[in-house]
Amino acid sequence: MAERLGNRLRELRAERDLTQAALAEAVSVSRKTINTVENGVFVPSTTLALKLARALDCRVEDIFSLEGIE
Amino acid sequence: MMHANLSDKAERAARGRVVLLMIGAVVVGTAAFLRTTDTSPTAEGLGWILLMAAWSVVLATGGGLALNKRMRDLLNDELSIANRNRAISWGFFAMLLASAVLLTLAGKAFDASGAIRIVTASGLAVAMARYAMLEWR
Repeated sequence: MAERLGNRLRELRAERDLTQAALAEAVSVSRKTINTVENGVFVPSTTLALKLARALDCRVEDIFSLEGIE
Repeated sequence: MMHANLSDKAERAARGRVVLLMIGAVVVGTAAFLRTTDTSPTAEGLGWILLMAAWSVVLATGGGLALNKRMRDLLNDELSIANRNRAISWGFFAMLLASAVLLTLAGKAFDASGAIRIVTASGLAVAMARYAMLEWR
């Protein structure tokens, strides 16, 4: 069974009323980077994942999870 | 608001870089097949090396050297560096492919310096074009 990285970044960001640009600013990356992470196009580094968790005041596991593919 | 402006500026600069990279790919690709007619082989070779070096710097650094550090950091963030690495990998395989094609044409169409131009230009042009495409998304 293959696994892929799922994420709830868009959902968590929306819950906190943050725009992509605002979150990008908080973690010092471009808005496009946030967009590609949300869409699953780009898998961020551990460093960026930790920064995102800190900016959203949650754990990394709340944002990212492994999803199985049959 | 100031942050949003910085972010907007970085996005515009990134778009500008895409255009610059595509122009670079065309210039390098075209120059590989052109030869100046009134220069010595040394001057011609030096010109080629300078051309390749200049575009290699743009590819390797992501450009924006005249911008301030904050802008450069946004322009060359994690996603952009990952895109650049993927693009350089494409360039590497383009060089291998160009070498293989030239091997099949050995002794027919190109001398050594012509072959070097085509191999190096293939790698650089493909890497720049691929980088531009990845950054455009």
